[in-house]
Amino acid sequence: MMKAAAGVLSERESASLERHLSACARCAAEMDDLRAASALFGSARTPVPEPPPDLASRVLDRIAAEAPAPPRRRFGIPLRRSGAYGGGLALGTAAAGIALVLIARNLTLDDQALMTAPPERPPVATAPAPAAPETLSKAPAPPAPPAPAHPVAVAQSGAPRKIASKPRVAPSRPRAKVAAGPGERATADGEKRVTERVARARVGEPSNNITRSTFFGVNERVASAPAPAAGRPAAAPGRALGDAAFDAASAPAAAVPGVNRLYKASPPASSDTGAVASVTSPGGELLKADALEAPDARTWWDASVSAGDEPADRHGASGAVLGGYRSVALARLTGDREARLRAEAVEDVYTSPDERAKTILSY
Amino acid sequence: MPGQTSESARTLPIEDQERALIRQAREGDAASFGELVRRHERSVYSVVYRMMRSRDETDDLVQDVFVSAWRSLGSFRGDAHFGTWLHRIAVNAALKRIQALKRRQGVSLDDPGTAIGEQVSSDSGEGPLASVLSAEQREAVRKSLDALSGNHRMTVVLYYFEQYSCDEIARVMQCSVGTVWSRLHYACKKLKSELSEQGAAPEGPTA
Repeated sequence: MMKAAAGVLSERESASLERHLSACARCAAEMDDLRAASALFGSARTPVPEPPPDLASRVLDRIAAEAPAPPRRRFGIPLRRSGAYGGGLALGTAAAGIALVLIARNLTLDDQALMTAPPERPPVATAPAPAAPETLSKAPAPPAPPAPAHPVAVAQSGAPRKIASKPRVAPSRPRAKVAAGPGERATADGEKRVTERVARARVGEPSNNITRSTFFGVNERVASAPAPAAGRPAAAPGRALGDAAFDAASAPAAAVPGVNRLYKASPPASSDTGAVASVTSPGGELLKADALEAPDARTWWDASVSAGDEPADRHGASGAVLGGYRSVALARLTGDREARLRAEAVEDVYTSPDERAKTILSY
Repeated sequence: MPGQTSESARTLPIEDQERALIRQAREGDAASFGELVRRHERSVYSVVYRMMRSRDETDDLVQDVFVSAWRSLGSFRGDAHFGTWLHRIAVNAALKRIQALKRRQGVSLDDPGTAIGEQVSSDSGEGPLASVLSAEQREAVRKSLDALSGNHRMTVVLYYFEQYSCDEIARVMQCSVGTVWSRLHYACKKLKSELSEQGAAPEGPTA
């Protein structure tokens, strides 16, 4: 409307605006006000006095007194007359360069510090638990792996927590994410996938002396995808596409001692995505680990023990939702023997629903 | 000057002359720079005066602008018109000066008798347009300009009083064209509300 008030609208734009104004009294009134005000400003233009006749000579006098020669340009940086100033500038530039190097170095160090820095206090303390066993509390944080060409999610070092029959509530946990330089690859069918190294840190409860658990993963997201083939759903690049839900019917038989249940990924059915793994100890305890990402992008992972005498501190769970493309949950049972179950929910619209759950058992 | 009319009227030989003067000035020829000052002093003076509304302030500031331009001549890359570059220095200097004065004085910067309201008085004999505004309208224009921020006021000055195009204002003030339109829109609404407060005729200029 301001353009119209100033009279610079094209004929077509003006006709379009007039059509709207004829149907909208509010805009028409505002248009009238703007036109009146614009005309008033335009009419308030007055002549200005002439500059002093000796302005140029006064300027030249000052130049002669202050600056006998104009500055020359060197390497794109206008240098001042004073050599000391120029030297200072050069020193400043060098200092800035050094600072940049130091900042870059610190960024790298920060990455390392993620694994070694003292823990923060968790925002919410849950039920106290006994001290964690060595096997879990010592869990060393591995160095961040280089991003592989075909990324495989890595989840390690679950922090034990005993939460008996706890309803699923996404806790607000401190989280750190460090993404190293992403790598890109194009798949045969034209997808462009971006792989980046991701480190996440979790702070455990102080009551069980677990200060933090860190695990690294490889985040792969679909940066761009070709048009879906007939019968396949359209991919939303970079978005989570699957869901983790219990599917007893498709759970494999208990091929691993102590492991008899498996949660696996299922076709998209809810807004949560992720993977769930569970193990049952010989004593009958069900240890469940899940890694879920809620719609509001909170990522959480949890361990729970359903029943039994198994000390809670012998259980661990960890998980990761890796960019909404792949989720990993790791459940660990420790004691006389250790069983691990890793459920990897691969969420990919280009695979059939049956292929979406990939189970990796290790112990 | 990067004005609407001067831009189109500029001829190639003058541009060539100016380029030569700039080159010589950059090599240290103060006389060439003096010629550049004479070529641009009116337009620079006009912009600064409309912002400062004081001859003394304007005289000093315009000198500062040209001395500053001389010092910075090494950084003039030639990808903008010299006038645009010069006006950018002038606009920044005026905005900075106004800010400093407002901090110090906290009052209107107008010299007695030089406010726009006074300038446009029919008694001042300063131009044919002066008589078209009523006293209320002059007062409303003055008050609304005083109430605007330096950037808004500069935009109004450049557009309505110096008759720059919005593209030129954007180049001089180093903002987007959309920002220029937005500032003009805001200024007009401010003027309208000032008129409403005074009960002045909203129909624009009388006569």
